[in-house]
Amino acid sequence: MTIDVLIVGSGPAGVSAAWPLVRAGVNVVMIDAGAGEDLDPVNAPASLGDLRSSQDTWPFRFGRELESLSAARNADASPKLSTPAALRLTRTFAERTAITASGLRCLGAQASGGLSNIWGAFACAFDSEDLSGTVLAAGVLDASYRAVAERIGISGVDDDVGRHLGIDLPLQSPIELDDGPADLIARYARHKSIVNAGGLELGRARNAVLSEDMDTRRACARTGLCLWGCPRKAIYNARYELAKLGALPNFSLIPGKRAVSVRHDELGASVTTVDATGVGEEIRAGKAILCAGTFESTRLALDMLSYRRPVPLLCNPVSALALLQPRRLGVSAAGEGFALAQLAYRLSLPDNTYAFGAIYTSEGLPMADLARSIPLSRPVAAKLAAMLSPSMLVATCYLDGALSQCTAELRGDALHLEGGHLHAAEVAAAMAKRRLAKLFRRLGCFLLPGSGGLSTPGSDAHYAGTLPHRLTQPADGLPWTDKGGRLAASANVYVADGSVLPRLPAKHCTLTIMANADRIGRGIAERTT
Amino acid sequence: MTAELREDIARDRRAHLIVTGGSGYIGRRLVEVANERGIAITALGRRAIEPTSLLRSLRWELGKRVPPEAFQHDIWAAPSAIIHLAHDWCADMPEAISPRNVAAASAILDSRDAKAPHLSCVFVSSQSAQPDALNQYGRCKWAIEQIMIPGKDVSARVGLVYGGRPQGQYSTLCNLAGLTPILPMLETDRLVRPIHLDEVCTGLLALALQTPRASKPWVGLAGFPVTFGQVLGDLARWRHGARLRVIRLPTAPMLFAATVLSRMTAKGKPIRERILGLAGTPVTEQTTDLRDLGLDILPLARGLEADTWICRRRLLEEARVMLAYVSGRPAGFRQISLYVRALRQRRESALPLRLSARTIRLADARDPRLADRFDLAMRIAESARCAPAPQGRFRRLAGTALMLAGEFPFVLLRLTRTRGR
Repeated sequence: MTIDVLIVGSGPAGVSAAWPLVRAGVNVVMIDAGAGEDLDPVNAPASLGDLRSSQDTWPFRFGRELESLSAARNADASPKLSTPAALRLTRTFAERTAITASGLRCLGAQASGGLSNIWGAFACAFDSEDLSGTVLAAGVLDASYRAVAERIGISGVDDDVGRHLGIDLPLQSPIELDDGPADLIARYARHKSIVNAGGLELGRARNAVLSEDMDTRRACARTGLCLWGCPRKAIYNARYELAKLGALPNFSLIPGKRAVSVRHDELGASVTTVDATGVGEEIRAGKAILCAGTFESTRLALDMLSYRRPVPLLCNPVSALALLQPRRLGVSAAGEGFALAQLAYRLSLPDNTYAFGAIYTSEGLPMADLARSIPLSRPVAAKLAAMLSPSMLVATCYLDGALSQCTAELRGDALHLEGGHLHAAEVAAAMAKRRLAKLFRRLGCFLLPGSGGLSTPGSDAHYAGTLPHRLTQPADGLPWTDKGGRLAASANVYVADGSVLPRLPAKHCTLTIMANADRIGRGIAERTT
Repeated sequence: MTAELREDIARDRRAHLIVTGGSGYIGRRLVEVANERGIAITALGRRAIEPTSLLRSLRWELGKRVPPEAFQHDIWAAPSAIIHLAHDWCADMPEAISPRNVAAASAILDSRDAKAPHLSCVFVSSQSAQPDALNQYGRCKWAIEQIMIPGKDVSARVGLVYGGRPQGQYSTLCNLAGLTPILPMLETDRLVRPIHLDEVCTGLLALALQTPRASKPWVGLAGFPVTFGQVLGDLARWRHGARLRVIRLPTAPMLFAATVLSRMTAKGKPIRERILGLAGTPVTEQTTDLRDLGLDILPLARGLEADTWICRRRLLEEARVMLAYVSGRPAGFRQISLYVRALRQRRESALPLRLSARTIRLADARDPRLADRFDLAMRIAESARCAPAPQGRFRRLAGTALMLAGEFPFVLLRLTRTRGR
């Protein structure tokens, strides 16, 4: 079979780019650095209640090889990154890519499904304000947002926050709220005018989680164990789509091959790969689309362009706020629930900027994580954390990626990352914290002391903007991609993952990365056929 | 151990050695290390050792000739050396040490000359081996060294051996170091050369397998010189997690007392012998010997820190105390095992302080270095937590209020720490 298009990477971007091409009849081959990794949790209990009452839950909590215990817990790492599967993925990524980083947490996954294996499933679209002034403005992504939403299944509702998360998207009904978030949203309805005047809008979160069955995936059963992965496949993962794509005659998946370099000429592109044993192979195709994740795609592109100076990298500055609902103090722990985002908020900040965040219950979190910041003796802190947990909410607070100050640079064969925040990020985070504390107090939630500090850059794996879409070649000589995703100075190499996003507003970027990959795939399909 | 030595030993995987004293402190570990490296061992001794595919045990008594079957084996190659470790302490009659042990060594060499004259003998001697050594032991070792054949046999003058499963002299030192926080002791300024048990075993194997044979009649197998008081202090710190203050006792009056005691009772003789042994240990320069053998000797503190036996014992104790504290009930085997496994994966050793049920609360309040360990213990304890009994909301809140009231002293302690910092 002649390969029309070779896609590097099987994550959300790779799969999204593949669908329009395959549907248009283009012969597509996808190479996947993963090789059918076993990422399912071991001895999974039926629900959060079972997890709490079972005596010996260590293989599920820590992994058979004690992955979750083998390193000291990172205080500001997202809890979803501390499960055995997530730790295994990120460790393998670090070993294989040899990326060095300073001041930035580098997370990635070289496994089938890529970073969707550790995605929190928050699915929101960027609005016209977010993308104004870029090549993606003026509804360029609208059709792709709809196509992706239909394909992956998004639950949510159009409400106050919904209008900032994408309009006219096909949505399944939202997942039932737990008691804490339900109490918060009810209070919001009563005090809406006051908190809106303060700049806060609150609504239901949108998640790539099914509330209705879809193909082989089943609706969420609210087991409360979402952080460990969903055995019902209710939470979207790009690897679920690989089997569906593989059933089509013009699509092939080559697992266990990592791309080490890309070259191009007038007639096509060739990708050199290595497998786990170090055996190399060159794969030739009419076009190559790099969807290997921001870091790997950037490395491949910079290597191809022989560009060895730092390029800007966007990361969302992020913090986490612990909120206490005193009315719920002393209620018993729920045996089930939904551990991903239940609510979302948007907080207006000066100069037309905003902070955005999702609100979670804390019941699925390890007690040790909650107890760590309580200044009491450990046994008492653990009991207090268990008592407080049903009355606590955790709100993330994202700021615009332009407030980060990160770079990526090719040194030898590996990428080196430098990370940091602008001083403006700290000012904005402090202001957002103050305002949120005041407005949430109105809604019966009190900010717990010690929370709300900025995490290490890159802690939530939102990376973008190293090879941004532009209309014309930038004067500063930085690498770029055109509106169709084609890498500058190359005829047949495209990039379609987070690295091409020209902006990283204060929202979760995964849905936009998928929609943009879908758009790039459609464009290539039109030109190829 | 250097790469060259590793290669040498790997090349000699099918080597076969005869070892006397294989059930003693050094001998037991020597057999293990040799077998781990694929070297077959014929162990000679009074007590039978359970045989394996690389180990057979033949009955033999010190002073008797080596049984002829020791020199041949159906599967293994012919033995290439004898490592002579066995020693008769003659506890009842120290003055008989020298004649008995010299005669025993002669019997071994005679057997060797009769059955396999090409075999070399590695004699495990002592740093105190001197013709004019103060104690019988040093003079005896020197006398045996004299009957070894230069260029064919070699004596290994071993320093103060520590590490591994406590046995013999090492066990005595460990017990002394953990006996009391203040220890009166003789010769605390005396320089000794401590060497880890595994390093001794590696060195002895290298001597037994090396070709060409050492041209020197003896080589030193000993570490960097430290005072005897420091040895006791480091043992207390690493083995018992305690701080030890050693007070020097004058040697002359103690020796006089031991001499008087030795005339009154048989038990006094070994005491006098040990005092003389300590007082008479010389410090010799021998770095070239270690270099020739390809040995990298760790300083005492690092050797103790890395000692598997000490690490395991102290990790188990730490796990037991930590887990019992955070969960409020005795820790189960599974939880202790998880704690130790996790720390081993992190390549972390036990905390260099003694934790007990009484001191851990204070450590929790005042020692921020322990935060990661407490986190680990809490996460493991949580995985084995029983579901709490159902309670009403009011009872739960009232119970929490009482629990918090009881935390007042802890918060005060913590505040004093914060102010101190």
